[in-house]
Parts: sequence; structure tokens; C-alpha cells
Amino acid sequence: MSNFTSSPDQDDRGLFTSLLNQERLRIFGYIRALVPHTPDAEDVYQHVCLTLWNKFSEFDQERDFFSWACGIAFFTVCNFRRSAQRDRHFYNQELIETMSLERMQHLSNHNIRLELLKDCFNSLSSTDQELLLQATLEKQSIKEFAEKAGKTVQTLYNRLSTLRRELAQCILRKLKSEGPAS
Amino acid sequence: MTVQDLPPNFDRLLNRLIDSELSESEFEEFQQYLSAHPQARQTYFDYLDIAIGIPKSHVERLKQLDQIVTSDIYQVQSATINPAASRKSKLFSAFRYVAVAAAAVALMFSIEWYMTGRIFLGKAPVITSTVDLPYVATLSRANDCIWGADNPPLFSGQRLLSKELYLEKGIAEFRFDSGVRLVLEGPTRINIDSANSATVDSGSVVLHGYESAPEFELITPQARFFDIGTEYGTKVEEDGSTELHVFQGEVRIQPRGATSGDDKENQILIAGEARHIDKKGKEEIVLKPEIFKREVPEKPKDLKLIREELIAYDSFHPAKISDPEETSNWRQAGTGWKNIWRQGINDAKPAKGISHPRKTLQAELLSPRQAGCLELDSGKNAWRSLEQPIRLDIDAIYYISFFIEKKSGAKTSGNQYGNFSLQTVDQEDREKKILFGITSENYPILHTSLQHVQKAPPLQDDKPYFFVGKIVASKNSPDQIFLRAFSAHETIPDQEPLVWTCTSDPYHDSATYECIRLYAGKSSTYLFDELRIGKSWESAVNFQHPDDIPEVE
Repeated sequence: MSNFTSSPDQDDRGLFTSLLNQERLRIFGYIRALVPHTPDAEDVYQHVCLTLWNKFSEFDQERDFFSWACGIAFFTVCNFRRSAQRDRHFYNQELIETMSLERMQHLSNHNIRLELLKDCFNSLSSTDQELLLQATLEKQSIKEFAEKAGKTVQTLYNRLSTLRRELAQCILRKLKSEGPAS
Repeated sequence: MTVQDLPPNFDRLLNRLIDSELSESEFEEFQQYLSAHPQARQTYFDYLDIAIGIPKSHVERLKQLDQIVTSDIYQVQSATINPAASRKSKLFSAFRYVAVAAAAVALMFSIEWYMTGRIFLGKAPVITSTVDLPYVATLSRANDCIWGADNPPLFSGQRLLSKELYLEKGIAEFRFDSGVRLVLEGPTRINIDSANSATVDSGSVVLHGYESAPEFELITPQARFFDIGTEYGTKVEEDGSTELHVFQGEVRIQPRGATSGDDKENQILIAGEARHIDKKGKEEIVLKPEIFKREVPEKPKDLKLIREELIAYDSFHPAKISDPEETSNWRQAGTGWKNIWRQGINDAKPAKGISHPRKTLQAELLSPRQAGCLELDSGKNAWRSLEQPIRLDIDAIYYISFFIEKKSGAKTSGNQYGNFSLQTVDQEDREKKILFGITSENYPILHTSLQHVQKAPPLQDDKPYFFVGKIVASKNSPDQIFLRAFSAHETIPDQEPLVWTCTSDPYHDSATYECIRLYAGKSSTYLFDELRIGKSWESAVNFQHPDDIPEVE
């Protein structure tokens, strides 16, 4: 156990942690858009965090941390795609490059949209809220939820589809009336 | 175009993607929609943000993942080390290593008796040490390879020191510890100089760069190539003339004899460009990706071979379900064992443990003979001897896999670790072991003699994890151990992964491990299931019951 990461000092670690705390969701959101399979996206996220930390001494603090992180995340995604198993879903390189730029732009007002999502989510019935929460857990949860509710799994998936569309429309409506367009 | 103008099937596919239900053909269709419709991409982003943003626990999940770098408590192993920083911390590391080693020895003495029923008498224990002889790469894939030169690689998964290699025929992939991959097509003569450089004397090599890796230097007779987030191919003829074809990213070409600061001599080649380089100079040529083997072709392994490579297996499936079910006899299932599960290395009494004959930790029960798992609690041991021992005194590779689940309980303190370990009956090596398990704090852990490697993020109670350990044994070179912990939602790759959860430093161990021990700490309850020991990755991760795999005739 002699290989320890020790490049940046404790002050740097504090600054790094603070920046990561602010941008964690946006960085993952960027990766998640380019990597279609959630567990793969989590693997890439962990790689990216390690790289960001190892290269943090090179980070120009005048620059935007999120943009810098996205640059590193982009290359990590490309490398991951090249080395990943062939039976995994991965977008082609051209699409990754196209979406990379658009996703960064899309995430520029992420925090506003996250607040609006909370508002829209809270306006749903408790059953619908529970269904959306269960859907983010394991597949097993949806099956159990369906059994409890006396409905088929397909019915719940259909409902989820409707709820996501309604939430997306709700956020868009609120953005138009309350804030800058996305 | 508005959302309403999107193809009617797009919304359905998008939801199926988010619900992880998309088939291969559906994914292709979905990808085409994304490529063709900017509005489809915006909708895709919106839906993703909804899926990510709803659960408050998602931030906690990400925090667990990035704890690998934000936590001060758990020092992180890294493949890339800043040389200056590494030197700076060397003294501290050495002191810390000695301190940890001393503590480990003391702890080993104190707990060994309790856990194994053995007492140290006679000879003082032999203390093994890690070695400062770095492995730099792994032979990750080999397809129909014939190797020349002295000491050729023997099997996929083998760790490599810097050395000269001659691939006469076939295609092989080396994965450097920095993440860079080299795909060689025979005949190719190459020297692995270090973790960040290699020299090609002749042949065909494709380099796949890795962003977090330091710049990789590929040396050819006419020039040095430095990757910049790259995939490129190079062909070196016997007369030293070289072709460079850049597929992605950029490559810096530095003529032999020039320095990196010599801007006039250095040239950057971007994706799509190619050069022929000889003594006369550089000449632009047409890019020809088709003349290179860019990846090792996938070749599914023969099931019979996988069966042959399986050394031992146990499903903890009782032949008969007793009443009450918990008392069913789980101790003599499986193949590759000398005896039944027992209480101690020298204690022939049947091991104590609770049978769950209808339960499995495996995601999907492939055979009724796999039903059943074992529960151990409150400091209980279960020992069993292998027909074929695990030998670290020869050139060999072993993979060990098992499911493990820690049960949440009322006790929140005390020894809550649980593990699998390889143990030896040899009196001289009795303090040695190789252990894979979960710590009291829920971290996956790899323990070898004096090395103790644990890694964040913590694992969750009441969730099954699939552990795969890899043991690279070497007769004349150091040995090295790896552990990967997979959660239930992760896909187990067909070939061993790039990233391991815990990795030991190379160290010398020439013990022969004849025994397996399963253990649950005094204040804990653990479930174990589907234990496999094999000679290949495939034999450890093929979830079929061995009796369902055809044997070699």
C-alpha cells in the first residue's frame, strides 16, 4: 500500500471539495447524457473525479470549474467508450461530440430548472411522487410497487412516461413565465 | 421542430432508456433520432434531469462515489503518481508503512487465535514484504498468439515487468497501469520500457490513449510519438521506416535526437492525418485505418474450456430440505473439495451455519441446484479444503468469486467484518492469508500478509455484492492480488475489468493455500453464496451450475 495520491495539499483538497460540492450534479448530468447506461455513467463519474483531483494543481482558478471538468469528462467518456464491452450501449463518437456542446449549454441554467422541478414534483399526488421515486431505484421496486398497487408493471411504466412528460412541460412553462428560457 | 413534431416512437424509446429497458435495435433507433433531431436531444436532456433530480438520495449516491477523492480518511490508491509528490511523501509513507505493518502483526497475533482456533507456537512468523519492483502492464487479451523471445507471457491476465517481447503471430492487447492500451499484431517486436513508454523495433501497434494517464511515449527507429488524448496506429518496417496514422485526438512527433522543447523539429498530427517517416524525412500519406488491427477480436470462450478451468464450486445447496429448513445440510455441496465445511482448520466437527435452502444472492436462479445460501454470524467460521490448492510458488493465475451480503442488525459496534480467505496448513506459512471481504465500516477490503487495502465508497447492508478476486502468482517475479466488488445493478463484464476496487502492491509470497475460510465477525451476520475458484475470469463469472457446462471429453 505505498501508492498514495498526495499531489495537492490540504488547502487544495478543501477548495476542490467545495467546487465539487457545487458542481457534482451538473458534472454527473453532463456525463449521464453522453453515457446511456447509468452504472457506466457512475463508473465514468468516479474516474472523472479521480482525474480532476490528480490534475487539480493544473486548474486555473480564474476559469470555470464546470467547463474544465466537462473537458476532462469528455475525454474520459471517449476513452471509456473505446475500452467498454461491445455488448454495451454507447453512442457513436459523432453524436457524443454533438451532444457534448449542447449538453454543456443545456446545463447552464440547471440550478433554476432543478428548483422548478421541485415545485412541479411537489404539485403531483403522493402516489405519483412515490412512483417516480421508486422508478429511480431498482427494477425490482417497480415490480413490488405494481404488486402493492394491484396494477401491471406496464401500466406503471405508461404512467411514468406521462408523468415525465408533464414534469418536463411544467418546468418549461414555469421557465417561460418566471425565468430565462432554456 | 417542436416536441410534438418528434417521431411518435421517440417518447416511448426515451422512457425505455431511462427505465433501462432498451434493446439493442431500439437503442440504434433511439440513437438515430438523437442524431437527426436537435429537439430530441433537448427533450432527452430534460428527461435525464428529471430522472437525476427527483431523488434526494442521488446527491448522496454521487457523494459516495466521489468520496474516493474528497475523503481525508481513506487514502486513495492511484495509478498515476506525480513523481515530485511521490518523492515528497516517501519518508512519511515509509514510516506509515512500518507503523501499519507493526500494528498488523500485533493485530494478527491477537485475532488469529480467536478466528482460526490456531495458536502461534514454535517459529516466529515469517514477515513478507512488498517489493519496489513495479509491474507496468497486464496482458489483457490474446487471440491466437504465438510468442517468441525468452520468457514469453503465459496467459491472459498476466502482469508484466518491463521487458522485451516478440509476438510472432496473433493479436494481443497490453493494458498499462496508467490506462493506456496497446494492441499488437504479430509479427511485432516491442520493448516495454516503463509504465509510460515502449519501444517498437518492428511490426504493427495501435495505441489507445487515456486522458488521466501521463503522456505515453512510443519510440520508433525514426521518431518518438507522444499521445494527446489519442488513438493512433504505427507500422515499423525492418529497415526502420515508420508510418503513423492518427485516428482520434492528436500526436506529437519528435524526431529521434530532437528534444521536446525544439518546436521546429516537433510536429503535431491531428485526427485524419498520416505520415511516412524515414531517414529522408516526413512525407504526407493517406490515412488507412483499415490496415491496422485496432482491437483484439472478440472470441467467445469454449464452455468446455471454462468448465475445465473451474477448480472448485459451491452453491451451498442442500441435497435435501430439512425441517426446520435452517438446519438443512449445506456442508457437502459443490465440486473440487476434499471434505465438508468444518469448524476449524484442524477441527473436523461440521461447521455451524444456517442454511437458507430456498434463497439465492444471485440475481437470477439458473438452476434449481443453485438454490440455497449460507448464513454465518457471531464469530462463526466455516473451513473447507481444496482438492487443487492455490499455489503462489509457480506461474499461475487464479480468480475467486462469491456473493456476499451483510445483514443490518441491532448491533452498531464491535467486529462487524465478514470475509472469504485462503489459508494454509503449512506451519511455516501459517500467518499468511489472502482475504477478500467487508470491513466493520462496510468498505470492501483486500488483505494479503501485511497489506491491507480498503476502498470507499462503503457497501450497503442487506444488498448482495459480487466479489471477484484475482491472484497473479509468479515463480520468479512478485505476486499481486486484485479485488473487484460489483453491486447488483452492475453488469459483470465478459472480460476482466480495467478498474479494480482494491489492488495490492506486488509482493513475494510462495505459500500454498489449501484451505478456504468463511468468517462473520462477532457482532455481524453475513450471507455467502455461489463460491467459485477458477483459472480464468470466465470460469469465475460464468453463473451456470458446473454440471450444466459440458465437460472436456
